[in-house]
Amino acid sequence: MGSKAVVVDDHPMCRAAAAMAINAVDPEIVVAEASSLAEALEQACDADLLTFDLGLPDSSGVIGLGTLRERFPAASVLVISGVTNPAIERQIERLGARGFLTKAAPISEMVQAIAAVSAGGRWFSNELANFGEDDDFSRLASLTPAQARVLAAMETGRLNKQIAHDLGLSEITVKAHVKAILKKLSTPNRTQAILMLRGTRA
Amino acid sequence: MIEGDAPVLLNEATKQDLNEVLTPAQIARLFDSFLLDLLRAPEEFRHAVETDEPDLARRSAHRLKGAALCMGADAVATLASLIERAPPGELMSLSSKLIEVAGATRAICRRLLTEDQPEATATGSANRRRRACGHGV
Repeated sequence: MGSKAVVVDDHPMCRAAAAMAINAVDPEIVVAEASSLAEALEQACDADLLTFDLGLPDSSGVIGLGTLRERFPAASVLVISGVTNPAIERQIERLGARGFLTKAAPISEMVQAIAAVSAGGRWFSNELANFGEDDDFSRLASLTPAQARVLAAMETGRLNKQIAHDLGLSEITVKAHVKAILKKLSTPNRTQAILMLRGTRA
Repeated sequence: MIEGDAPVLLNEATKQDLNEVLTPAQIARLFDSFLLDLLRAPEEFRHAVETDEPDLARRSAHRLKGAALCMGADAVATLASLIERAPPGELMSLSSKLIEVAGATRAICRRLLTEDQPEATATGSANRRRRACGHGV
């Protein structure tokens, strides 16, 4: 295992449990904690391992994971979430996480998962292998991190110009992202795309 | 959990697993934190419902669910999961239920912390487990 891990979770107790599990694998590893995506982005620059909760105050769903992977592609990421949905697990896998674990998993399994991921292995459920390719979750998972951010901004009702300002992009780039998003999701307009996104959270 | 029964307040298997991996001090730290959450989260949830902030209420329930899953507090986790999906009109009635179940779970956790006898709770029949851990209301 490397020398630094970051536990990203907005709940102090869940952070503590994950940190304890990491140190059960390797007592020498330095564990930092982050309670939001913004804190994670600050802390994770030299981390070898990240554990990541999908429900953060500033990031809901897999979008934050995409951002984290894009910024720190070398770090191994284990998602630990209260969500139990093979479709979301598929999204997580496609975004490049090394593993997924439900928070209901016993801590001994968390230790095993951390050990596996840290050693370069993977930790996903068996259900993942049987999951279909052509569904809303798969289409959403096919979005690039930049497209996912634009879609998240679309959900808030922002116009292209406003999204461009918020994300530091040109309006033309945002338009291109929106066009690509609609194509990938096979939706005729942005409202349908937003409904698809919301539907996967239900 | 015993099949067909209501979710247990505190899943004995989770507690046993914690005993096998963590030190007593680490377990006590987790339970201390969870006890605080069981006290605060239902009140935060109720306040959010009373002030007509359903998104905040659901977020509070989601956080509590994560902690409850981690600690094997099945009844709280099940109820919090139900709250996450419930329409706004049902949140008030679920608030009272959450306070009730969280209170019962707190009592079990406090008793476990006081007793701190993992060997005594790690074995035994299903009926003994039911008595030791209680069931959701």
